[in-house]
Amino acid sequence: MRQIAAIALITFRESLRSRGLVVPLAFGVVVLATTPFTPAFSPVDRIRVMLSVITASITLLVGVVAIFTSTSTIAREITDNRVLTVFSRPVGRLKYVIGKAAGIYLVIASLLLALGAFSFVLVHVTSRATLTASETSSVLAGNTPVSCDNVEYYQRTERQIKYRSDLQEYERILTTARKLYDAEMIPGEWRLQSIRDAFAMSDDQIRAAYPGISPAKLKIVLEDVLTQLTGHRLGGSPSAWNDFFTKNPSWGHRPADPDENVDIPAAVEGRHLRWDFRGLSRESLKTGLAGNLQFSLYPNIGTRKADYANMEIVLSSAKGSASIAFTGRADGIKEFRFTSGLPDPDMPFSLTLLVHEGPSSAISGKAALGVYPAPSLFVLNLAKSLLMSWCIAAFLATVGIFGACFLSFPVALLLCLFVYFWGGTVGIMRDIIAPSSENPLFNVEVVDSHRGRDMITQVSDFIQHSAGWVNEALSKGIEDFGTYDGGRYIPDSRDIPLSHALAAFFSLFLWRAIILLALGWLFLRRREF
Amino acid sequence: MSTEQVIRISNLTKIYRSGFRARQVKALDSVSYDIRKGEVFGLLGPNGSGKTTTIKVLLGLLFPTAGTCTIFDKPPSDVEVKRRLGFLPEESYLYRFLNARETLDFYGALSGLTRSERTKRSEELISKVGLSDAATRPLREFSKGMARRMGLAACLIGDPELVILDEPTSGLDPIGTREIKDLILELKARGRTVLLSSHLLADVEDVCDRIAIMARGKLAALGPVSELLARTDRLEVVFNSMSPEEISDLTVYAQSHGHKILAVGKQRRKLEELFLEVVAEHARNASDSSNSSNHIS
Repeated sequence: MRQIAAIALITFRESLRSRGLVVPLAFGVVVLATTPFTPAFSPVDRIRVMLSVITASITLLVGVVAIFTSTSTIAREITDNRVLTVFSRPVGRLKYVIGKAAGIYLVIASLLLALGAFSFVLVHVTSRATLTASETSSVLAGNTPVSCDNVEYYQRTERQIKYRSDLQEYERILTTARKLYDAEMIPGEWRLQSIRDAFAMSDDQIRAAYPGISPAKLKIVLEDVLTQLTGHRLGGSPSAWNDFFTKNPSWGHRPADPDENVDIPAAVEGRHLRWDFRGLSRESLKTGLAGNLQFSLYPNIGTRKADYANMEIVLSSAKGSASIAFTGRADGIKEFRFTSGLPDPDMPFSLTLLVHEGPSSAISGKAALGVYPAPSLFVLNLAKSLLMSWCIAAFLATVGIFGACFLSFPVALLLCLFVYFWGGTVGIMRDIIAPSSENPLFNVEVVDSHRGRDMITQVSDFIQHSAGWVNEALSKGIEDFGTYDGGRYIPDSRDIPLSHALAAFFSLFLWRAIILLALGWLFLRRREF
Repeated sequence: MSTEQVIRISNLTKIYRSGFRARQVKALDSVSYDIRKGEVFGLLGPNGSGKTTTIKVLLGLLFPTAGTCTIFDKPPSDVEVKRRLGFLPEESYLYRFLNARETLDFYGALSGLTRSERTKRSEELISKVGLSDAATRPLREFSKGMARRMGLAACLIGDPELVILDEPTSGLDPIGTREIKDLILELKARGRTVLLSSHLLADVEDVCDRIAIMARGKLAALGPVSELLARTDRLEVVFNSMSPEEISDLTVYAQSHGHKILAVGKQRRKLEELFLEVVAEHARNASDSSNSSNHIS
């Protein structure tokens, strides 16, 4: 381990001190620094173009560095005989190969980190200088939705309609009574029931109950009061008023809520409200922004605690669907925020809001449903892009080391360049972000040749297979995102969860790199110096 | 000197194949000898005689076409063998972007030394090879002689039991050459085994116990230096200074006994001895005058 670390460190130092890293780093900084001056239709568009150019430039640059560093470092040590001083020590050739690979991986990581940090600062400074706060948040990490719909939702049943009507009538009676009290038309100690009862009394009963008051005068006052309270003109006939009160036994009583103490069931039949956000794909959002979407929901459902709605948001595309469910309650305006990855970032997708009605069926509310760039999405996507770039560059470096173990520098370089360009890695970001079987990452054509056709076929097959490993690793990292546990959304979930990224790195990249390095070692151990 | 054999070479043959027609060049042709523990063994021969090929085979950098060789009774490809040997190549193949300390730290790590061991050994060796003033300078600024010293320090960082030196004095001035030779003798005194390959016959003669002379890939001569250089038909007698008359008497005496005096003259010192004496004297004078001027001031 000590020997491997020593060889890795010296490889890294060599790149650093012999300007192997400084020159491309300086070149990269210059290229990236020009991106704010890219022609664009709008300031927002400029940031998006910048992100595209930055990610593509970094990948291209780091790939080239990986190829040249990997193919030259071993070749140079062999040609200037420094390798004699290494292999005359207790250093196995496998350790040498691993140490060299580790050193170059470190070089690539350092270059990526430096360029990534510079890009981060550059984009933030540019966005702050050219965009408004909402535009910045929209493009990078803000709360302004990229697209948003407001939805009104209102639903009542007959039972609740009657209850609401009764409640409204009761409140009107109380208001009217309060005015009458204020006008001293009704004695202060009277209540509604007292008025009803007094009007139904005979003259003798009135005299006994209210001594000193003329029954005829009282009935005129009561008729006026009841007319105002009930809104009905039934005249001075006590029998007519008695019939009214018999038919309306709850008049003057506060109505009871029929759904006051109902238990909320786990699920009820819902209805669907559907939005289609076709076109809001990764392509339209540009690299670095898409992949994570944030939605906001502002429910204001009814006024009572019994009112509720189970809501579910379903994202679906041709490749699958993901859903997030939650319950909204009417105890004030709430904002529900969540972040989700799309089932397939490159496909148009639809977004459906399912509202499952509560038992009171008197839900009225408003929801604003939008597509947001998630907070800190830019940083995450930049990190993801760097990880992908590292995987590509590390793979190319591994191919370079493998080649340098048994080929001369120019031939090993040609092998790497063959993988790089014929493999379609020039448009690598697009292909990596959208891997598909129809558009393989590396697509090598077999050249028909009279001589050496078999060899070309073998090399091509090898490159296609090895390129397929990277494709598989990266597609695994991209497609398998979003974590949901029993329908509950886990907010820590990211575009590429760490566990998935690590799984993609270890299980799909690392052991295949080990195979390449082992093959290189097999060649190197038989090589004479 | 021990009779334990450190290196055994038996019928070693190495054939290079090169070119489109796989032209064969026999670099070593059934070479056999061994090197004993604690001796300084010289490998001599003109260019292309197979010296460097032999060394590379011993280091496992080349694979023999036929025959065998072992170091410490193990094949050269055995990594454990290399833990016990140090190698100074023909030229100083060093990492020019490192400085002296970093170089020794690197080779110390390759030799499996811990960090503290590396630090201690580095300081000792930098001082021993006279590079203390240049310890932090990058090697690209080193002269050829300094680089050679650096290479020697790197060779010795693991305190090896077997030291293989390929042209150790090339590029060095006479003082440096003398220091290297002293160092070889010091290694011998500490019981280390040294395999020395050199064009400079005088250097080999000064320090080697045994030598092997190679010519066109074959072993032309092998044995102790004193035996190989001794001439049985000649006798050398060294007198202190004599007058012409005494020399004449001596000549008459020799003739009367049937011998012939072939040469008479003043015994010559080696040029190296003269050079070292003159330079040392000059340095001493410069130091004295400097001290006296300091004293006066």
